[in-house]
Amino acid sequence: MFKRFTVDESVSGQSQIKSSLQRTIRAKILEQLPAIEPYFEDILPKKDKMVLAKVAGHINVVCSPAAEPLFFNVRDGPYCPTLRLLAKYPILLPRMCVDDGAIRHVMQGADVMVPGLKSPRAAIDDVPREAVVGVYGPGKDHPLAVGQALLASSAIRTVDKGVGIENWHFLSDGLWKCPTLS
Amino acid sequence: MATVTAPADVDTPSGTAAAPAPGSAWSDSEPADAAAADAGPASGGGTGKGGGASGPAAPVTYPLVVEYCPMCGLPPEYCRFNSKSVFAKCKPWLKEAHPQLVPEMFGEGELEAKLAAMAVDGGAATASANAAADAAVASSLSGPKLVKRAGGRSKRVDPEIVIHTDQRKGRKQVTIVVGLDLFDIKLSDAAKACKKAFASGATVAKSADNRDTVEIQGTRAHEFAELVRDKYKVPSELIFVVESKSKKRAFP
Ligand SMILES: [Zn+2]
Repeated sequence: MFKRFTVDESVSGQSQIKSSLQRTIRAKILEQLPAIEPYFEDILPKKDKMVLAKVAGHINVVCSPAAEPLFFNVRDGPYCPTLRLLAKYPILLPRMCVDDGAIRHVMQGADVMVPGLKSPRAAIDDVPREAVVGVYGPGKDHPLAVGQALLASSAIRTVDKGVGIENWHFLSDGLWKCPTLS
Repeated sequence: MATVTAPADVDTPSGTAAAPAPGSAWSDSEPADAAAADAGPASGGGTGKGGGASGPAAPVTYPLVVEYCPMCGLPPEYCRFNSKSVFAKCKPWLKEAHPQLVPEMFGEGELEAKLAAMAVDGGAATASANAAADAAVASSLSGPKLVKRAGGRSKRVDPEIVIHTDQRKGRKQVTIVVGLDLFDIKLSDAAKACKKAFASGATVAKSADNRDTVEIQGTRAHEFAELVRDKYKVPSELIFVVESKSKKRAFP
């Protein structure tokens, strides 16, 4: 999603948003990522104006007042924390641990295939289909990518091939390389 | 020439071999780490609403302080998944800060094999640099070439010259040539040669996908094909002309 992202070319506009829209976005994020509740004030204080960046491909990036990207979503889809935010608050997303061999591919933007989630060193949380998840290397503290599970965990455990997690945002992609969008 | 580059690179494996102890510790401890890490955030996620500070052992407080490698910018855990050359730059810092993350164990033989392969590549490259121009063409025939694309990405492209025509403003035609750079032909020289040969304008331009091209005024596709074949000795089977949307050999 952000493989070719650059601030100059991909961001079509950044604006402070109306407080009513801001409330809607906060409510949606809170609904989708309930674990954020105790930290929401620290991440994005209510009194601060959030900045919304419009990115090519109908992507919205919710940023802090300092233009630090925090969450993104596609059209009206679920909000997903950026990797830099997830690294600070790993509790925000369920944890999907991939096989060592998959790491390099995921870091180049590949989707996570089901076999990469089934090796002895892989381990996955129980998630429903279409859940937003964090992807980790075995034994790693830091997330490697975030994405959407295309299959429920139960289905991943039963099938043998195909895409398990769609790769939305990964280490060293364009968005990762922009700690701020200014 | 291979032997010149080899010692400098071979330095790395021998240097890493000097410290086997952290290596074995790394391989032993990792599965345990994995188990602990898996258990930690998983349970944290379940009780996240309660404050997330209910971790099994030491209470975890968020935000975590996250460290990034000063060389590659990734979390140090992932340094070794960089390309070999980038990881080599991370290593000095990594050895200081996180010795357990420098995988001495991991495939020393593999590393040496890679280095050997690189040395051979390097040798081939320098050899062709010394040789004459047609030798350079020959080496470019040997396989796909790396072409820089927008955003610093590179892509392998088969060495071939593709000539197509395009319309500019009104009914004006231009002939666009892509791929000259793959044969080590200087584009400005080629443009100059066109001006002379066709008595028309010719410039060096960047195409939309960031390839270097030569743009010639007028429809000169076949004339230009002859020119690159005769003047630059490009093999005729690698010259293509796009006509009515299909790419055909210029010299069937
Ligand atoms: Zn590094």
